[in-house]
Amino acid sequence: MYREPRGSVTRAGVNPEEMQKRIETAIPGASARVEGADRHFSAVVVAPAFEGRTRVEQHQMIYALFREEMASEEVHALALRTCTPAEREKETQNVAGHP
Amino acid sequence: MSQDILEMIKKEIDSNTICLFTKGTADMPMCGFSARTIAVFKEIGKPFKTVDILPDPRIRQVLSSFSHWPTVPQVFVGGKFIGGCDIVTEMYQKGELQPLVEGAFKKQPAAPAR
Repeated sequence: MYREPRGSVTRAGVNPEEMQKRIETAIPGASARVEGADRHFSAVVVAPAFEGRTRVEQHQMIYALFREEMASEEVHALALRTCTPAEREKETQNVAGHP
Repeated sequence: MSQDILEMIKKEIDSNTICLFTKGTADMPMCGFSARTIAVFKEIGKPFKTVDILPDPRIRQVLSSFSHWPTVPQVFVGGKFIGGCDIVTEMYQKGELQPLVEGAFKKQPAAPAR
């Protein structure tokens, strides 16, 4: 659910390492790569927990972990790519098979 | 108050086969992610409605709690939330978006253009 930005609270901005740790802690078996700075981040997340979920649901799982930061605009943009280990496997093969 | 905004949001989604909530307008997007999403739908070439969320900050708040999605743009096709910029771009590149749009227009032929 949407929450009002906590305007009075000042805190150090989140950084990619912290975001990666939060994703990998919250989602069992997930491996995440997070890049970015200055409120704009991008993350690639591979997790078995994504199996059987729609892309929207997968992204909602990640967004939920940064609800406060996104509501307060501390994280203005979080570009996401999510996939299951099986999908990642297929992508890697495609790349490898390319001349 | 916010009830009116929710009604407005639902009405736009229901009455436009493709409805985008964006920062800025189709002719003048005010954010790179909105611009990219609009560009995808211009490529697809079907009529789409954009609703600018910037004039009233409450639109964004109500929209996000309605769709459980924190960011803008947000894309609705055939009344259904299909995602934000990343998902739409990925679906377009994989050739999944076009059939979804075609299907939605077949079901709702009477939806007005912007």
